[in-house]
Amino acid sequence: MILHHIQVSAAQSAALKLCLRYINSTDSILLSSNAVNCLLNKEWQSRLSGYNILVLEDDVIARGLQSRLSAFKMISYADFVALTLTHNKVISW
Amino acid sequence: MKKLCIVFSQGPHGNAKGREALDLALLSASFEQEVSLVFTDEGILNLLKHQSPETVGAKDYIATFGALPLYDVETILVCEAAMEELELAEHDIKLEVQFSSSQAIAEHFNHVDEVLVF
Repeated sequence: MILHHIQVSAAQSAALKLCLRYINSTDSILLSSNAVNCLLNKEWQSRLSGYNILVLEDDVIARGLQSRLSAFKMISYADFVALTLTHNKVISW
Repeated sequence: MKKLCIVFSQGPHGNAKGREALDLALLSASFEQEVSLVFTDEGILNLLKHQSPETVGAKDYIATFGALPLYDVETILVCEAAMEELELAEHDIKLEVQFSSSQAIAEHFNHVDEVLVF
């Protein structure tokens, strides 16, 4: 089980696209920093449906996107640390 | 001894990612780590023949890819899906590499200890 960590906007980097090309069904994706913005986009929402998507809560609050992104699972930094332990490895794309 | 996989995802010469990734690969291999490489997206362009980076004053680290076998870096995977997107053919690639499916590369990521993406 791999935790794929995306920290850059899908509009500026191929990180998320690459992650989706090599992801296994049991893996998780953590979106933080500008990567959270892609969840506003219908296309990315559909491409990401079916995967275990996690969003770093502080980055959503910082950007005032709580209500728009309320459908997604928010996690705290502490949860993030715990996740890195329950996965075999983290890949920061 | 760690199994370290280094992913080249960005093209050469526009930034230092390719050079940094190759430096890390050779350095880690010289410290007895088991290093494997994956080339995807424009990262594959690092392996294109007939480059002349000096034309734009860029450092020619491309020649150094030839040293990989000396460092026992044998697993070099090139993503077939990305090759198709860039309309590259196998004979365009200058190194002895394994052209791999996305699943094979995903499988490789599971087997190694660390994956670093450049």
